[in-house]
Amino acid sequence: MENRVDTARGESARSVIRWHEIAQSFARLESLRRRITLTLLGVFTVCFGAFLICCGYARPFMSRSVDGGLTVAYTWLLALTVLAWVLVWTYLRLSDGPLRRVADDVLRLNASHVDPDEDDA
Amino acid sequence: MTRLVIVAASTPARGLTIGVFLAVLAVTLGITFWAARGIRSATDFWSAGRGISGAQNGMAIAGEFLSAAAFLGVSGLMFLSGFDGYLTGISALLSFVPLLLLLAERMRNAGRYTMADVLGLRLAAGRVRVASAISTMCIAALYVVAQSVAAGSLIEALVGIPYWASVLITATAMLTYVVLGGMLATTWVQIIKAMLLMLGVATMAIWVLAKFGFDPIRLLNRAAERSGQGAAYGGPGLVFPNRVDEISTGLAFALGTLGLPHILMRFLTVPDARSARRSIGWAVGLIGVFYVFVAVIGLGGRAILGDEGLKLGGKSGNLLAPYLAQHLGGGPGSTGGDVFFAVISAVAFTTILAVVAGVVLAAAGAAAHDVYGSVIRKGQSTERQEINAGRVAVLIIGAVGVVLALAAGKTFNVQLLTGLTFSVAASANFPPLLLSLTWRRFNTLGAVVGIASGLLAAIVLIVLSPQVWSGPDSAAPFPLTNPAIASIPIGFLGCLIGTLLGGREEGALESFDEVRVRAATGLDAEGARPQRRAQDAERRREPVAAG
Repeated sequence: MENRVDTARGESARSVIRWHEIAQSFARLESLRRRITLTLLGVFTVCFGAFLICCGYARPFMSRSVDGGLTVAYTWLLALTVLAWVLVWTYLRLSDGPLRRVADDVLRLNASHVDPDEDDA
Repeated sequence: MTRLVIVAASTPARGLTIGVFLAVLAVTLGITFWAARGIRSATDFWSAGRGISGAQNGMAIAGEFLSAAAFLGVSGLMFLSGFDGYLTGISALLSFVPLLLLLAERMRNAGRYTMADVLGLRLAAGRVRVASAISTMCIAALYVVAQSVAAGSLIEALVGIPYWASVLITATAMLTYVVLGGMLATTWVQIIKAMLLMLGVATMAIWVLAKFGFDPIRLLNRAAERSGQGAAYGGPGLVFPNRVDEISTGLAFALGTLGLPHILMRFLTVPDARSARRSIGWAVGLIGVFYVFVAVIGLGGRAILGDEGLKLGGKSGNLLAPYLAQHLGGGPGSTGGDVFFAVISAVAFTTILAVVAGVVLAAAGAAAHDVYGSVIRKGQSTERQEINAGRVAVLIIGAVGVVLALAAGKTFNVQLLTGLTFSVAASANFPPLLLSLTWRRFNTLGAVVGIASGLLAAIVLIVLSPQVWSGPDSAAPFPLTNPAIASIPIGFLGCLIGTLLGGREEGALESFDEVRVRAATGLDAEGARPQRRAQDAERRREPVAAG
């Protein structure tokens, strides 16, 4: 079955691609992507959420000295900066590795659902 | 909250400052004229022909993001209040993590010129384009006014040019970049600005650290001693006495980036999703290092200048950085001091010049492509007509921004407007964008109600807040200075209620598969490289090369 789908409703169609058929073989890619995204987002949410809550409701703790003028708050700030770099780097690595391989598999399996004549719309 | 206003300052190196500033202006205008010769299509004008590399786009994103408030405002706030001054900085940096995980690639794969293209892919395009354009233009207006007020105030304070003339100079330069050079010129101006800014703050921060034997603990100890506020200087509470306000401000900056149209539009300038991801890698690296340097400058100002910095930097501390540079270079009257003062002031000017160009281009895109091209002309306009409409829109938006900035006056609270910009973006744009890419049942009414409710909630709550309420702060109906903690959930709730009321929308349900596949794989994205990749891979039966 072929679905002709306009790329933006009300605008002209640019391609003949059977999106529904491709979506059927898409579960593995989506599941892997969801797992990676939710894990990294979870780490981000816990670390940053706890930081914000402590800024609001644990101020004496945040002002406690770790080493002279270096407080818990400053230490946490630096850790969050490093965390941002690590999370972004991790996602870039995973995207160029496993996620890309699975996405390529999906595209290769479904190349027959893409009408070559409509390429480079 | 900080005020980018401003004491009249003596300017010992005024001529040198103006000279450096004019040199930067000449280079950026030269690039603009070069870029203008290459504009042949709408894609060239709005998306730089999708020929910007990941590294270039990352530097341009850093350039878009690092405004005068980020450089002068955060260093000044850290000087005055220590740790709390850094809250907006760290929140803004961290915002790139959810931006990467949730939106960056999907924007690239599903978008064309504007944010509304993504929404219009599966929803009734006309209504969501109009709603999205209104929201984009509100954000742009707030941002342009905030940055124009900052520009006028700073140039007047550092060089002595009157406020109105300063606003006009910056607006003229910004309009020239955008009208003539479109996205390509804007991108290169942002890259130059980001490089200059990084060079400037790195030099200052290393110089400050050298004064303390490259021992950051010594710097922190000295800053805390000279603050007169003891342990409180190193912890939260000095800028945000209200606990919920601290959390709300952090949320606004952490989620606002995900709805800022000029940041989202940047992902449409690169050739593929891989470059979009790499853009964020570069941007996070640069912005993270930048904020660490800015923190060193703010704390260094306190440690080195002590209370003298209060007189030099003004009540808001916004002029601290140039005067700290002057002190590091040898003090007023010395050659080194005057040169360093001039260079840092010129870097601040460049920061201001470039920062509004991107947001004005995004607003012009919404007006020309979404409203004029797609709604009024129903997709029948030529590319040339759309570019011309965009140029007219840039001039109108720029003129409105200048008039509002002059009407607001130099004492208007700049940080208030910047915070509101982030709140509006996080409340009005982020919820419908995220849900259109991830929720199958999401429909047109959900998007329109979500945008309207998020926009109205953010604006109404800020009007009712202590910052704007005319009576005493304690009498303000809404107690927080930043409404994000309330307005973001209202935006999501609007999306939910609208979707439930709108019922089943066949077109939206059917095209969800298209959006899902397109966003994840880049299939049929503008340029169609992944599509060709798939066909090549099928022919060769081997893993495909980088797209």
